[in-house]
Amino acid sequence: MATPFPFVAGAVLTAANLNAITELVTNTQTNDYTLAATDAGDRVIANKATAIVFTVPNSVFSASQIVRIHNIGAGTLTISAGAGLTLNGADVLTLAQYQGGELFFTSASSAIFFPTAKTVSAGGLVFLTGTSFTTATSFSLPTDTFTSTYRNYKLIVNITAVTADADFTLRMRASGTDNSTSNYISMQMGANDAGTYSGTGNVLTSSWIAGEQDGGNVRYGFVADIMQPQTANITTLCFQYGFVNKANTDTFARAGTMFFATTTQFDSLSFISSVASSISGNFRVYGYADS
Amino acid sequence: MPRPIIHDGETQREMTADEYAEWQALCDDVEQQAQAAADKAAAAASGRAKLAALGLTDAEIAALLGA
Repeated sequence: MATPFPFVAGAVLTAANLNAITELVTNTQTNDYTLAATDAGDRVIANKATAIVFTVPNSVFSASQIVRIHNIGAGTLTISAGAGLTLNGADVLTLAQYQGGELFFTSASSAIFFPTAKTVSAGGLVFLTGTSFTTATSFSLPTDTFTSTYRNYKLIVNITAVTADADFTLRMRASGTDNSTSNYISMQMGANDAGTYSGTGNVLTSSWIAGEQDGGNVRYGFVADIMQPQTANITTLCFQYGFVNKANTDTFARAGTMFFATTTQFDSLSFISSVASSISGNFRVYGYADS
Repeated sequence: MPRPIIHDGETQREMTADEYAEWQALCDDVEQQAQAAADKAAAAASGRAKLAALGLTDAEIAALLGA
């Protein structure tokens, strides 16, 4: 704290010290940060445009100490337990912009996070991450978008511009690398705007088909529920998307299911165009909160 | 010549050489899949045409092959 905390016998409390009690020291971090003993009683602020992590270390703080945490940046702040520390309140450990709370230590190895500016989700969707991209070949969700916090996720993709006729595919991703093994399976039912039905799919290829898009008449949207990507189970996507074909002769809708054929664990995925530096748009990812 | 741009989840940047090679391989795969799908569609259309030439109605062909 700004005062000579902790006070010791014989210390003199000045007017400045007393005024400082109401003005907590702020420790602003713009990248991942591990809380330090000097943060006790202070306000630690996250301010980053993309995802950021505060780690709470074991055996640094003591019982009854508190640290106030606030997120003022656009990136989601995740409060993570360091090795050996038990951190309760797992459903409130991700903070969107302008959310915050108080970390209360019950011992050197245990803490509870009490949110003060966040409504605890009651089984609804929790926004995790999202951003825009401009004339990119592909976009990937940030590393560790999929974590053990949520079992299932929702992805919404809006493609607003495409510079040339392109095919789109999806790949799962872990630790910053797309998985290119031949384990992608999809079953896709579709219809065009004349009501003619068609289907497509892929079996054990190196990516999932995600449609195509004419470069001049852009109408593309993709939404998917992504099931258990971060567990040791088969990752499954139930999806819908719409597009204008590359010949610009038909508008299509497709829906279906995608499987990754092995029980690999993933923390992200990539959406990839077959044309270099061609797509602009934005994406949003939400987690399904259990309670 | 600069390599294509990607958005890697944090920022937009040029692909690395490895990412570029991987992307080109993926594009080749996608092209082959698209060609295989087109061949399949062409074969189906050809089959329908042959059935129509034999005098089957559209409804009869749909009953045999699906819509």
